Amino acid sequence: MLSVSGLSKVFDQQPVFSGFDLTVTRNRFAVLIGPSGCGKSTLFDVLTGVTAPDEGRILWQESEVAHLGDLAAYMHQKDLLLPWFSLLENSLLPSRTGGGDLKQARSRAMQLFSRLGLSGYEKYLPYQVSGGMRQRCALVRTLMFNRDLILLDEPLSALDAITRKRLQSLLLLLQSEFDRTLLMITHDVDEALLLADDLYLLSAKPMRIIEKIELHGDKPGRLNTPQLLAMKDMIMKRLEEDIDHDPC
Amino acid sequence: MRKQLSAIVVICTFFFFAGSASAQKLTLMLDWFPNIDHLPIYVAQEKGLFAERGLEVEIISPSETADGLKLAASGNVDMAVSYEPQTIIAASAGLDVKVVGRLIEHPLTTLLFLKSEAIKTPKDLEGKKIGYTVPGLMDVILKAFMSINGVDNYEAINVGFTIVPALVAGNVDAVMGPFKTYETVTMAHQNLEADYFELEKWGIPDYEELIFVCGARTLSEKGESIKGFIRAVETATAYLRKHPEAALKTYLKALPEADSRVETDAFRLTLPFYAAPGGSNAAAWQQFADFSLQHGLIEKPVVTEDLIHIW
Amino acid sequence: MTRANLLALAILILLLGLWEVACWMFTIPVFILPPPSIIMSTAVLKAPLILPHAMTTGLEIICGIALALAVAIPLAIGMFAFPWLEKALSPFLVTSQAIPVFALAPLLVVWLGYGMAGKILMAAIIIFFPITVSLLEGFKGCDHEFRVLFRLMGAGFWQTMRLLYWPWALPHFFAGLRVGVTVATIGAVIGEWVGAQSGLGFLMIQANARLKVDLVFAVILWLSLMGLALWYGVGWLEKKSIFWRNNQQILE
Repeated sequence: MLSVSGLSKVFDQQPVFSGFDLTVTRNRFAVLIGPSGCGKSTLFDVLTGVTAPDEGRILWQESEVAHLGDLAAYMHQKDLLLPWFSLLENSLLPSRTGGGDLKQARSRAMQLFSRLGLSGYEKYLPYQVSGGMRQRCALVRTLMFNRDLILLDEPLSALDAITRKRLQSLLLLLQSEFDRTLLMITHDVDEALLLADDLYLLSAKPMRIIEKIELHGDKPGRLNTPQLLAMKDMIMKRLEEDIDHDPC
Repeated sequence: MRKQLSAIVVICTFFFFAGSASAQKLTLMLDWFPNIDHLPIYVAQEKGLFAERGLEVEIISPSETADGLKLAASGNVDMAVSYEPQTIIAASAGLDVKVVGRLIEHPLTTLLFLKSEAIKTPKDLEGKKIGYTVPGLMDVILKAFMSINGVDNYEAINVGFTIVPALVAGNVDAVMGPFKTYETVTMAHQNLEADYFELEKWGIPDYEELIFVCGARTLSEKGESIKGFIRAVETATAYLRKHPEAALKTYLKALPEADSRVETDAFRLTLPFYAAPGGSNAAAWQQFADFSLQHGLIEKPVVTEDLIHIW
Repeated sequence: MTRANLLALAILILLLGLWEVACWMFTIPVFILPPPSIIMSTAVLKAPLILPHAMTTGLEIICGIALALAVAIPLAIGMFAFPWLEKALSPFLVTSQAIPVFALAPLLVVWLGYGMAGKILMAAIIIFFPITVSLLEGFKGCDHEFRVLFRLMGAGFWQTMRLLYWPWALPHFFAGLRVGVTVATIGAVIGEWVGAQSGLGFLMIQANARLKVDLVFAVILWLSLMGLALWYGVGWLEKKSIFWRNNQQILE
């Protein structure tokens, strides 16, 4: 569905990544994991069109595009809810800006609110609800984008452990029930192993893919199986090795 | 040792007496920026007439015209130059000032306008827009002037300091307040011809445009020095009548920032008005005070005999 | 009344008390510096005289603020939308503030006459700059991630202005407005000093010429109260407009 080839970006005369290749398959959950701050967010900036790459191509369903700005939805660490709009109004923003039937959008949003456990809080302002609820509202907004691909930039790292767990299951819901394709960045190995179908290990700068691992088994149940525990050890070792060679 | 000690004693005594013979300081606050009306004061200073009488005069410009009266009354300055009308207002308001001398003995204030065939008497200003320069003072005088001359229909507009632009732009047809010795000159230098109605010729009692005032307490404390000041100014005035060109030169030397062309022309017009020696005329002042009461310039009557000090 | 308010009130009473005592103790003449008791009684007793002038000046200030907003808001939006415009206008904007305002007053009187127009313009000139600058800073201060979000949502500049930039900049806007509003009184009064037919500045000159210094100070008192009223008025407006809490808190 999405294919990136030969992507290069230089920032402040330092190569962030060069010759970066990546393929994301439809309705699969791809996770990029690597040490903090070594270029993963810059990759997303390039994919979303915030900055242009110095080299390389982005292919969407076989045809070349400049960026995924109109094709992907985006979720960030920060919920990015506008403080002056209610939760419902926030979730309706993509429909307002993108055009389309607001009445229909409204009922869809209400359904999603109830599906994600936010019923009754539609009229609340963001400062009146908890961080987890805000992130769930952000999820609704992301779904309201109605785009097949969702880019997730460490969306859960700012949350406490319990809220995190809840939202991780919601992300899996996006894949199973809402039929989305997801590409996520994280630096939490447990999270990666829990969610990913295709797991990409990233190196430190200049960023490249050290290894691609395909994961099988029921999500989330599989986390405690011995195979995955062994996998986790291996991954940790690999990432540490890489850091020893080349600290960011 | 003895010789040296007595030398020191002699020197110290000398300085002690020299010190006590040093000049008496007087502060004088003008009514406005130094201008040709103040010429006698500057001539007196430059020619050493103050020093001769043991006086050291410090001349200060005010931030605005009412300052002098207030500060003289409170004793913050020893003397001030002021206007008869405003002094009468001050006396009526209870300020304890005394009139101690004269500088300009007749009115210079006029109702001024651009020279025109259409305006020959105040009646010709019927229905026109008349500007005035100081609210609370000039508007009242304007009202008196108009009522005395039978002009009922006119519009009074406060033009602040912008006398000439207001006339030229046609915002007003005449202005109450400009001096016939000054604005006429500045306007002539801009190729504008001015004409005017003199107040004292059209019903306003004659008054002294510029006078010297001081606080009552200052008068009792520094009377001798103030008398010396007044005598020095009178001498300077006598001198300038005999030697006008020289006096003008002295004045311009004392005030290098003055516009010599304007001041020179203004000087010729002002010459006849510098006050002759002698104090203010209490009777004439009373006439003006009564006139002020009658026309609402003051609220409480003023007895000018108490106001004017005769040396 | 909160503790802070009580303290402020106490300090005020103390200062006024010292002033009053100093006037009597040093027998300062009333025509130099009147004591607070006389100022306040004049301000109340002469209220019928002062009120029409206060209304004139008040009207000049309100119109000046309206004019300033009418210029400042489009200007800030324009400079934000077109960075080249900001670069081009910056030197002029800064210079406009460096010129002493009382130098402009006589010119405005000559050009615009002795009515209210010149005073309104004076007030507007003084306050449009802080408002423009704060508003522009508010726009520019919008977090980068929000701008990306809006771009991804396909929102155009004006939609983003309406939904994101403007609400974001409101706190900055009100900060600028509060500063501007208190200085607007200065602009109007200075305009009146140079030539006016009514207004508190006019009344001050008139009172001064008649050596009624207590009235001068009473007028100053009225002006201060007007300034305070404007300050609190804007504060109230701000509270109503920014009905969410400081958005900085939420964005952690």
